[in-house]
Amino acid sequence: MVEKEDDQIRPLADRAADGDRAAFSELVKVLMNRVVALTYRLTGEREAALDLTQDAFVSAWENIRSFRRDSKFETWLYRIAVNKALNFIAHRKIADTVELTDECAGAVSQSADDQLTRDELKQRVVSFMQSLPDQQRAAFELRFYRQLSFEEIAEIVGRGVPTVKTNYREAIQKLRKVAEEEGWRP
Amino acid sequence: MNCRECRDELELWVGQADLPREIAEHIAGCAECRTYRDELRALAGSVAEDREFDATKAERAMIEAGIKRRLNPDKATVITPLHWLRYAAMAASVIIVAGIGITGYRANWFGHRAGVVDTTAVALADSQTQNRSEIDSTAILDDQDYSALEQAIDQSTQLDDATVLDSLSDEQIKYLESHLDVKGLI
Ligand SMILES: [Zn+2]
Repeated sequence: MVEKEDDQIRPLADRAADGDRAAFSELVKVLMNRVVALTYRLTGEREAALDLTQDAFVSAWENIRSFRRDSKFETWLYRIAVNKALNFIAHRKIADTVELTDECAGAVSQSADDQLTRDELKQRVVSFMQSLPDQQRAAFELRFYRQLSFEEIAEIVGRGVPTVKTNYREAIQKLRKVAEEEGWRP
Repeated sequence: MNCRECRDELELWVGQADLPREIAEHIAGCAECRTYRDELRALAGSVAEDREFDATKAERAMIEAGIKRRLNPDKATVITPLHWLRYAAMAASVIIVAGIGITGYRANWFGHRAGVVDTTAVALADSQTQNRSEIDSTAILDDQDYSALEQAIDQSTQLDDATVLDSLSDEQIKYLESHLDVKGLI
């Protein structure tokens, strides 16, 4: 599945790098869902995720000349998207008076005994993601959901591989704890 | 590789399809680490990628329109495409049938968003001629409404798709989508 998608992305990325706008539009279509999901789980806000996705693609096109053809387009795009999402979060922390953690706690405390519905579980995943520190959240998103190698993640977030591994491990340990406490089931 | 090392490594591979050979070999001969592997696998299953995080059709359209507009600022003013009019028309018809009427509709839904009101007005006019059997909006619209509508129709030809989409909230888009689904338009 992933390989097939890469087969699809590679030639489009090459053409986009040559300035082919139609190819870039195809890339937008192919990668959009992944960028929306990524920015959504990173920010916990749907509307912000849609804006950040748009920003990321616009930046990607504007900086298409800095894309190196020997690297993965997806990794390059995610770096742009992750940076934008983390920037957004940093500004929100300064500007926002709303306590996001309170909202999350509210969502989590409901219906502890019954089996979780899909919607509840989805909400809890978003809440869990929001409970993680930025770097752990980014590592979890990129490793677990985007299935990237630690080397690629290190490149995206601009940290060393050992740091990224530690971040991921800590996120997994927290996830285990939360899932156990709240009785998550697949 | 001892058990401690194996478990540390296993945590780094949560969510990945294949394990490195070293871990796989240890697990083959160690029941305790195998149990831990199974536990982590179940954990991964509970937070596995959910298609519901994907962008909806309307969200995709909004992002694509936004990107297009920002990359082609000179081509931003185009006539609103018919498909979007149909979206708005169907939502309008539903609300009119529900008896809220155009004034309430403007106030409740699109309020101060002049651009969307304009487009909706066109859609309403359109729906009156296209779907008369389904909608009896004449019962709700008075002369003043009609002249406002006519004005709005003139203005709305200045609007582009992106402006309309940008001014919709998630809730509005979801609402439109759910009704369009019912009507089989998308
Ligand atoms: Zn062992």
